[in-house]
Amino acid sequence: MDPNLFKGNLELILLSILEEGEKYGLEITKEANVRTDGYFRLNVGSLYPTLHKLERSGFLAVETRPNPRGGANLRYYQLTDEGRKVLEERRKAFETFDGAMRALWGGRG
Amino acid sequence: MSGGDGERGSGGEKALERYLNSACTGLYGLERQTVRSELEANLLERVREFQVMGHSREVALRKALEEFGAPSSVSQGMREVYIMPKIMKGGALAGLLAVGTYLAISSSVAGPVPISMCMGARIELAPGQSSFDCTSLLALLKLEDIRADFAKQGFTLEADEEHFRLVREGQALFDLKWANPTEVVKRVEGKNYINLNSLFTLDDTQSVRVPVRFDRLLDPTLDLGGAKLRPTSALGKNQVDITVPIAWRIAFFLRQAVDPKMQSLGYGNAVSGSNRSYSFTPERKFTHILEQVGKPGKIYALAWIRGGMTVLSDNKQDRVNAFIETALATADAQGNLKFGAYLPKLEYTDSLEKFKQARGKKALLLELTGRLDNAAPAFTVVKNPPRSSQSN
Repeated sequence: MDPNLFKGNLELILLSILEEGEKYGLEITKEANVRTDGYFRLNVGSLYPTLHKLERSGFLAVETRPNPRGGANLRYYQLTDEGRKVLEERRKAFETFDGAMRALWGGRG
Repeated sequence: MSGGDGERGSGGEKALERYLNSACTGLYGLERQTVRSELEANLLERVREFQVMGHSREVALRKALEEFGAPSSVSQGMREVYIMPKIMKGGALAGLLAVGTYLAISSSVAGPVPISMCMGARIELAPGQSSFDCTSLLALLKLEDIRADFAKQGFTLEADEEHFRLVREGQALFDLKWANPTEVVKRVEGKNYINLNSLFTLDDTQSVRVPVRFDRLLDPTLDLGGAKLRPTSALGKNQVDITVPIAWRIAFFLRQAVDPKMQSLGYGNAVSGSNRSYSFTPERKFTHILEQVGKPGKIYALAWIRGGMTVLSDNKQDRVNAFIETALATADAQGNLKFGAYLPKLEYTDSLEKFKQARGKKALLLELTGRLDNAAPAFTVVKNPPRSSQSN
């Protein structure tokens, strides 16, 4: 996987994963891994700063809850209304870009 | 740490502690606490999963840490999230420094200062010594001095190698048992010193961080907010004595969000629930000889390297997470510079070896544009000058 491509779309990836419902960091990592057959492997250095950035941007809301298994509290992330709107916009933008690229390569059959 | 598993003393738990500390490098207060707590919770969750798979606790912890990856990447990413907005919000120094001429301050020190605090408050100059340097990786304050400063403010400080308790009117406001005493209290030549780097942070409200790279430490270049500033090698011949009143502030982060059971700040248990800081502004004076006279009315910033936390990088090389401290002053009618207001604190990371080599080499005196509000212990910028990529 091209790291630049991944990094450039990380926010879209995270917003997409959280579209289905709230998750905490480790769950997001697993979800990305499972849903892409291991293609997306999130590491902490990219995951958590991006989550915090999205939170500060108002695209994600956070709820801190005790871990039922004990230990430190878990931070659950979920999309805000603004986050849903941004997700839709970025998804469309990505699809348009993807379509344009495919059109470019169309003749290579 | 709040794992609550009672294994904090084991090698694995120490590795976890180191990991979390490294991941939070450069973060302070509530932000540090939040990031640290979140990482810890998710790490321990993963540890449990490995244990369920049949691994021992120690192996599970090791595997989880390996899987999570480099902690330095977290701290770097988080600083971009939490520190950069502050730059934009308070981005005074970047503007101030955008148009600057600069002068090198000689650091022709005869020998190292035994116990120095590069902030200035505890720079101890020997008679005849002409300058100060940054000889210590530590910012140390004599315990007896800090105790006296607290007393002036009506606080009683009880501190030793075991704990740190701040009392006012018979009530303990702050009661810490060091998570790692050797990092906090240093005993040098029979006296106790508090390592400020481990204990306090500067008041974030006055810290201004700008994008900075401090290249070529032996021949420093500051890259501040796009303005590249290099010290000139030409030194003036007129030496001037300058008295520098030092004001320093210490902020305690006592926040309601601090879980009394948590030691996530690494300082121990904070029992107070108030969210406020205490400031102390005792004046210290030392005589410092600069090799240039300031131009009356012009603003100057003094920038120098201060040691910070030593961290272990991904490739197992010791790196130092240092700060570039600056003090700001307006030259008076005689050109004297009284650095009473200080603060922007610029983070810098490089190899420990390079840092050691650079210590005591040079500080920068930067001539700025803008205006200082000397009535307050901070500064304000009336007008941001147009950005210039280079001024020499």
